[in-house]
Amino acid sequence: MNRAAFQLLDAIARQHIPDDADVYPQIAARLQRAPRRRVRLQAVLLLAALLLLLAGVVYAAGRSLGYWPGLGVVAPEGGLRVLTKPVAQTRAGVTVSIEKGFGDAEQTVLVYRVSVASDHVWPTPATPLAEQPACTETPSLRLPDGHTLAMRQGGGSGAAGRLVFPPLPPKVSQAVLNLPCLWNLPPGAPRHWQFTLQFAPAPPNLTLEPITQITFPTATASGTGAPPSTPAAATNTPPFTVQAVHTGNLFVLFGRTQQSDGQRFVMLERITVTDAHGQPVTLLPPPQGFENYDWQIAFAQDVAFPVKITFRWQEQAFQPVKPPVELAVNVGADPKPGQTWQVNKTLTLAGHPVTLESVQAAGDEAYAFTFRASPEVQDIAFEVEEGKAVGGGGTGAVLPREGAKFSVMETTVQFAQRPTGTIHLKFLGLTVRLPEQEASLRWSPPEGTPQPTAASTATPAAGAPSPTPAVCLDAAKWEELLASPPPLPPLPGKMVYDRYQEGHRLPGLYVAHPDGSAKQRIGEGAWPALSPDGEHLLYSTADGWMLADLTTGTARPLPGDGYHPVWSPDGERVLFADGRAMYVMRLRDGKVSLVTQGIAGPVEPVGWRKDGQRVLYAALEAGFHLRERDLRDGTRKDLGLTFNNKAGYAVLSPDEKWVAFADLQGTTWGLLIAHPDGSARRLIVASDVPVAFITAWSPDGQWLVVNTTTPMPGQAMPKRRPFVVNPFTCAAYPLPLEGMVDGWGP
Amino acid sequence: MDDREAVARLQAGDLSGLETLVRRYQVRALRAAFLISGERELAEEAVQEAFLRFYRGVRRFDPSRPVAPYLYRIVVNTTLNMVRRERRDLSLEQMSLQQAEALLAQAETVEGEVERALLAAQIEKALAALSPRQRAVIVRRYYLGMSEQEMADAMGVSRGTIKRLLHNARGRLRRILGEEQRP
Repeated sequence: MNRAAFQLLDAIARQHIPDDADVYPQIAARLQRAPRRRVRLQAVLLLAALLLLLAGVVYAAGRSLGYWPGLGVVAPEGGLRVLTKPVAQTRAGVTVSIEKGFGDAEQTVLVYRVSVASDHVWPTPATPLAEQPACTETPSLRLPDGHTLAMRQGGGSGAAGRLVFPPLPPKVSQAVLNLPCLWNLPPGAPRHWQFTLQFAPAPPNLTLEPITQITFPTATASGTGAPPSTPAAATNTPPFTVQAVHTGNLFVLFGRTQQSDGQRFVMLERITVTDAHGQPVTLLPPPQGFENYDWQIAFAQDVAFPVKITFRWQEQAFQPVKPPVELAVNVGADPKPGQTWQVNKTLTLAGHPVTLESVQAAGDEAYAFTFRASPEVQDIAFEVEEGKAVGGGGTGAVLPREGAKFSVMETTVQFAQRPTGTIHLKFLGLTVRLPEQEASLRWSPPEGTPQPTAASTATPAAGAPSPTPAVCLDAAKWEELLASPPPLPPLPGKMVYDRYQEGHRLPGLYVAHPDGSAKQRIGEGAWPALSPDGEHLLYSTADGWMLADLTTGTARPLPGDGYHPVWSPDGERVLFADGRAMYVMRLRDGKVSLVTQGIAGPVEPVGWRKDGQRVLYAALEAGFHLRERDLRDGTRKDLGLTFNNKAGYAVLSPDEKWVAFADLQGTTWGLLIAHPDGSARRLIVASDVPVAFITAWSPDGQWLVVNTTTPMPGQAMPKRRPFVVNPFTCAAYPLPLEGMVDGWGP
Repeated sequence: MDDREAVARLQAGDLSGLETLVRRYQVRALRAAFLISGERELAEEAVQEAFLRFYRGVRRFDPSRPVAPYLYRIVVNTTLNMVRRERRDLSLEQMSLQQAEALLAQAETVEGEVERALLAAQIEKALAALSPRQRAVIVRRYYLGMSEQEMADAMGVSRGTIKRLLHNARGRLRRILGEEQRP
């Protein structure tokens, strides 16, 4: 970007929009008027988490490191100190506890937890955000001598979190933790909290999860793109350190990117993991404590080992021109601004042909140089021997078009006094983009750590349809179907879908048959859910829940609000979420009961068992875990399926045998199905299809809705086109509906 | 809290994620909206609406994507829509886009605060003479740093067209600068 132009535009706008302009209060007020997704009253500790400021903190490879679950990577050498005991305070129904912590030579780490007395939870209205003044102070540790250590990293999921401070001085055993801003607390609850903490040397029996070093086999890097015109200085040894630790039911792999000597910049593009059978391994969010590293991945312990871990990366390398090459251009004794000299001379610089097309006298004392080079050339370093540059420079390659043979670069060099006559350009080097590289390693955990369990090798449940091995819909097929939609077969029931409306705050809701016939506009809202008999639609409006009777065309409001409602099989209750908690609402009187609250993250409804007594939901704890809660006695069961789609969105099939869910495949999302225990997991829609999280089963359980989106030029909202895919036969059809299908009923 | 965490929080219903994003991006968004609309009130309204749109669709936002380009894109389009709605796009196109770009290109070579201030005044005047859609092109290119591909997507033209536009602008710039330097 033209920095000077940006600065001028910014200066123009700054006269009208000052640096302290703040529209958040108005946004918050508008949200309060439409509390559709208002966070309820879980105490959420907002810590102004700083971006990674630990660039200078390096854990040397091979050093004795261990992982303290929930806290982070610990360097025990050099005097490890730990929090002697948890500290907690309760005020106005809110309890904040500092549960554990340590200080080593690199950092001081503390873990906190916040809980709110149950009588403050639902349906007490949350403190209006507009009444909560902005708080930009960050937590700190005050030392006995009065010095403070400012938090350098922090955050968490709200109810639990982690704070990182600089290391405590060697002899300090006491510090005061200052938490200036607690957010979203009940009315009257204090926001400012302080705790006196005591630290002591780590006890000898403190055990840490061992961290192992993993090394690449020698000479594993290989180029994946077209070879450069000359042999590139590609890396033979992958520029990554790899370490592994087993914690909970996860393996976490993490490490650093080695940028070497400053002449080479490594950009890690992607890490993928496949199991011993070559199947993609789902990557899950790593637990806390690895944020300081350049990369980190996690996956479930029950994969088939050895796994193959593949790194893909790109490098830009500076290639010096040795000895420097010179080019003379005669610009005459009196160059006029705007005067152009066509040069068109081609040089070979560090093995790359570079053409100086033209030189132009620009402005008062500048020359503009136009070069042409092959697309891998990103920048050309040169100097003009006759004049000292005082500004400009840096060629800034124009991004080459796909398949382009050349890219054109322009640079303007400003001189204190423009040299005249014959000027000599001295070329010093090129910055060259090297072909994408790839390297893999195979890894099995050390002996003594858990081995694959039944989940990865389980056979499908008896009576289940035989899974089709191949993926059902990939980008090529998706585009082909969009271009030439086949005739839609008869599909059962009706669908509810939403369409973005220009100038409206909420989308329009429609009900229609899958072929688009019998279309009804219901109103404006979000999270529409069709009742089991297909006669009612529950959705969330700006004013709260609304229940529409599709047979009469009437609608009535229900008390409260929330999102992602799922009807019970008998149509009398609705499971729904709101923030970090999940509830059941009885429709006849609007009575709401709390089902569960997420501890480390949100919970998301998935479905009901046919008995109407047990509900399935996804809970975020290092990836989403599918769980079942018995509404009669509150007992909880982990079903086994884990997935990672951030939103936690998953849908139970009508026969309860399958769960459909989006899951991370590399760096993008695919749509999968699996049994609730995690077995028979299969990719249905490949991650190269722009698929949305939201999906739905047909009433007969044979079809899946696949909502796809395509960014549209000049439009804020992408074009949305739903498909139906039969995951058992792989038949796929685009639907003649424009929008996103949220549900499918009889 | 980085963007990814803010989005994850927001997707989980935690409004602190929205506040983080608003406070991080609002000033540049407001200035972009002002440069397009020329009115502070409208810019504020557009930015509020843009963030609310982002909020409403956040559960379908892929958190692996960068937030800023997506947000700025909504801001530009929302501002344009609001300007259109209020029939503020009828200004006479007294100045071509290329001329405005030429003025902006001078920013690279000006020295001294007085000269810079004069150029800023010229550019402000030039912007006022453009249609909002043309101003949006300037804002996308020079203020929000959108790539040619992003601009092409946003403007609904091919990348080749963008390249030609920019090439023409540069040629015109050279002519304008050359002429201006003559006594």
